[in-house]
Amino acid sequence: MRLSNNAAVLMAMAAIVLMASAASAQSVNRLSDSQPDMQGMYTRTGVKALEAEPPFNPIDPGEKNPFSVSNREDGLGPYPRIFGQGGNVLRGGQQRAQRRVGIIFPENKKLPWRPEEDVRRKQFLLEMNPAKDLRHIELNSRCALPGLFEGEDGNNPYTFLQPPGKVVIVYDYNHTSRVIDLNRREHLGKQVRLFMGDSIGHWEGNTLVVDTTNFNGRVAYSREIPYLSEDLHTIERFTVADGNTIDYEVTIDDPKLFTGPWKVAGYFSRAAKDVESIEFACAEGSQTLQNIFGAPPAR
Amino acid sequence: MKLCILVAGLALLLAAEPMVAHHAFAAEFDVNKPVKVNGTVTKIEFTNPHAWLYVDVKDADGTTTNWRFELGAPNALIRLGWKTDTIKAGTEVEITGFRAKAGGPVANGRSIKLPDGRELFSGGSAPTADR
Repeated sequence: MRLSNNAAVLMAMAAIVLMASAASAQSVNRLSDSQPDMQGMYTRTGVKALEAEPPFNPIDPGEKNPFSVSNREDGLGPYPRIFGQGGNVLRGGQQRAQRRVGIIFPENKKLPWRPEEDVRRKQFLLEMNPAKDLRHIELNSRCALPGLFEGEDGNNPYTFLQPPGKVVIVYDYNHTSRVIDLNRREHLGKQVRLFMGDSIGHWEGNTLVVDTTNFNGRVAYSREIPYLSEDLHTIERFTVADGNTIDYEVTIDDPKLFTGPWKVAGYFSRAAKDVESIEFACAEGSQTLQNIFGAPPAR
Repeated sequence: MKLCILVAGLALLLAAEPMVAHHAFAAEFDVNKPVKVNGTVTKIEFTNPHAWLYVDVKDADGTTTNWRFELGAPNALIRLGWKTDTIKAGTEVEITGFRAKAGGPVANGRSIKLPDGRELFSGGSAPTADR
């Protein structure tokens, strides 16, 4: 009798799991070629590489650092603290279950730096304020493409398009676009180097798996990891969870900088209906260089 | 009505999560050089990655200097309740901010007081503590 009770519980649990799976599968729309439909405008959340022990970063110091804007004795930081908040108000009003965000592997959020490379990036950061030279000006400020974890996810949405044989991700940020080829099985020749890399993809159920290589090493991971290497190889997994959510996970393999792979997760949420993609002419509104170095000489 | 939009925007922001600004504040502006000017708005540009507010300021000797203040991204300002015509040319404002490292009449805007006493926040590059 005890055994049959347990069996009944197990059967009930299995039924619930099956029903949940069916409901999940049903909630994903499909295109005419049976691919999961991920088209539309989304905002991205949580795709950041914030380490457990972040390095001292003089261009963007945290509260405990002496340069911190929060340490002014008059309490007059550059902004009310409210402006550190924001982000993803652009998305629709749908509620989100707790999802995995940030560094998910290693679980302790300590990246597997090659010791000499960790020293090098910490020194690089120190030389960014005051900027030692043009190379030490933040890539974002120089209107470079957003790399892996840069960009302003709170302000700038992403649009997914699915023309035949491709998935195209249009970043509002800096007019960046990535074309993921679903038919090609091999990457471009090694002589072809691209800011956002060469991406080929395939579907595994509701998950778009994207393999990217051929980076040119001229974009950054993040504000704290201000560059990446040409040998970077990423595998991204975009899982269409439902009509409004795409779960995201990326595995980083950059053997010049790290001794092993690490992973970051986050998710895309469908944007509110009134969100627009606004022209991002970065060179027009960014005046970083003259704010740091002064106006260029008159011609 | 505008105040309602502003308050609603602020409430949404409070409920939201940290974001990263386009550029790091401390590389470009000097937190130890706060500035406050009173002047007349000459124009506002809703450009990415930052909007810019231009203000004519009369100096003690009578000369006029056109200051420019960096604001947040248009999308950030819109979320805060701003519209392109929230501040029209000719409006008298008191604006506080932090001067650019290179000096000159350039600053990162922090907040702007309008003649009717309303205070608008600029939605610009965020302090790191909240990232």
